[in-house]
Amino acid sequence: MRRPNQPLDVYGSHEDLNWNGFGTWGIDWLSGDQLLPRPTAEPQFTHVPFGQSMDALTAAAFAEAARLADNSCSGVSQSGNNMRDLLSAPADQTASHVPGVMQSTLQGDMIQQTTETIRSALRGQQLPPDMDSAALRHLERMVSTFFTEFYPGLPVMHPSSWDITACPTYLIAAIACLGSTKLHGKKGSDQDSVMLAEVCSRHLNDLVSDARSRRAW
Amino acid sequence: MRDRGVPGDPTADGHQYVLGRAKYETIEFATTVLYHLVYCMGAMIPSFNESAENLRGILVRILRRAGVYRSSTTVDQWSADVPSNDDLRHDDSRDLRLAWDRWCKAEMAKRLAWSVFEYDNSLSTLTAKRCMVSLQELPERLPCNESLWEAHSALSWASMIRLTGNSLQGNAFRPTLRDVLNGNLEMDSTALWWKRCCAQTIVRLFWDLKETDNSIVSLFSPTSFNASQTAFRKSLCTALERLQDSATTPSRPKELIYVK
Repeated sequence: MRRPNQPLDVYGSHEDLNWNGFGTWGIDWLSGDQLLPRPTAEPQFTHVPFGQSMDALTAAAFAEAARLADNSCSGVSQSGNNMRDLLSAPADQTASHVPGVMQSTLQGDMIQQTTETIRSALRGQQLPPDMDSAALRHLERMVSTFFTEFYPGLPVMHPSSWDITACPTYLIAAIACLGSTKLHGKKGSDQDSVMLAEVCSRHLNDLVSDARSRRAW
Repeated sequence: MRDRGVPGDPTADGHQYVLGRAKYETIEFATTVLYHLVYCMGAMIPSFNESAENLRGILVRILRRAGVYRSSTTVDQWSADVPSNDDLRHDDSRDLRLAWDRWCKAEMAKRLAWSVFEYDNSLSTLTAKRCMVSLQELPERLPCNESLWEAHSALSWASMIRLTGNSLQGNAFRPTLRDVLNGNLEMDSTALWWKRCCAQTIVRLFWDLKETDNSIVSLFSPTSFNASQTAFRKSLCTALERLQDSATTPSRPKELIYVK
């Protein structure tokens, strides 16, 4: 598979995708078994599965966009393909001429929304009990990656008694940030890692500054 | 009310980040700083690199105030809470649970102290900057055996103590280091993290010697001063090579990262 022949800025935050690793995501993305979400005028992220399914759907959207782009150039008709029909079935009829790009933009919005959900959840002292389940799954996936990849070298926390719901958010942010660097494979420059590092840094700076100001008084 | 919002960040009102000093000098906070430092140094983002340099001093200061790093003249409050192997009442589940919790907190502090020392030492070696953690401040004990640390419950933890005989306090650091330097340590039965702690300490001793070599004192010191250290430097090199050669047999999959 090759990357869609489109400018990078069209795909925005999707640069984190592993373009050669679709097979590891656990679905047959060409079979059409996994139904892609229909594009809507105002996408609702909570109606779309995230985590592994999200990645697979995003990948399938990119794959189909690339294929459609190729077909439109070569003039080969692909009618009858279920996935392509799904992609080209627009909720908004005026947008039917760019189904692949539309899907990509939609998925980009969803990823952006997940990032913002995690950011707002980590701003409190502890995770909110009603945190969006998709965002929580994504956060837990980054935490899980930390325990797999980083914990053996930094075995400070007690793994058996560690509970994400009781843990301070600054520690969750620091853990997820390290996990995210490995999960995305971008050496820490991906959107999730930078966001989590920023949240963690704000917590640390505020705590230290607050302690200093109290001491001064 | 303080305004701690980041300029340009419309979602930042600052209020929710304020926790206060009670949350400042804790092990969890220090652990967060350590993990954040690791990211900052690895991300290669200049602003984060500068932040890491500032936070390193804060991290060491937190551990000093919390009594994790301490001088030899002060009382080790963390170890005082750790029960001895003989004090455990294996027939009382509630007592076991309390003892497990106390031990976990003390062990976490000790592990954090060693991890921060390793971070500080590695960073100083790589950047040719002076270390912040003194060797005299290090905990008297090495981290406990991983079989105790990874126990999933108080009962399994107590069972592992009874069956393996591993100490809840961990091995004494200085005698272990002395055995490493003298070649008396049984390498195969020694935990790989202990070897790593000893290796970091030896590297630190080399760093101190390099400081002496480069200092102005060496201009005025007699030749016999450097010659007298030759045997000591050779023993350090030999011990370091011995530690490196012994890192070949991991006991668990997680120790694969130590194997050369």
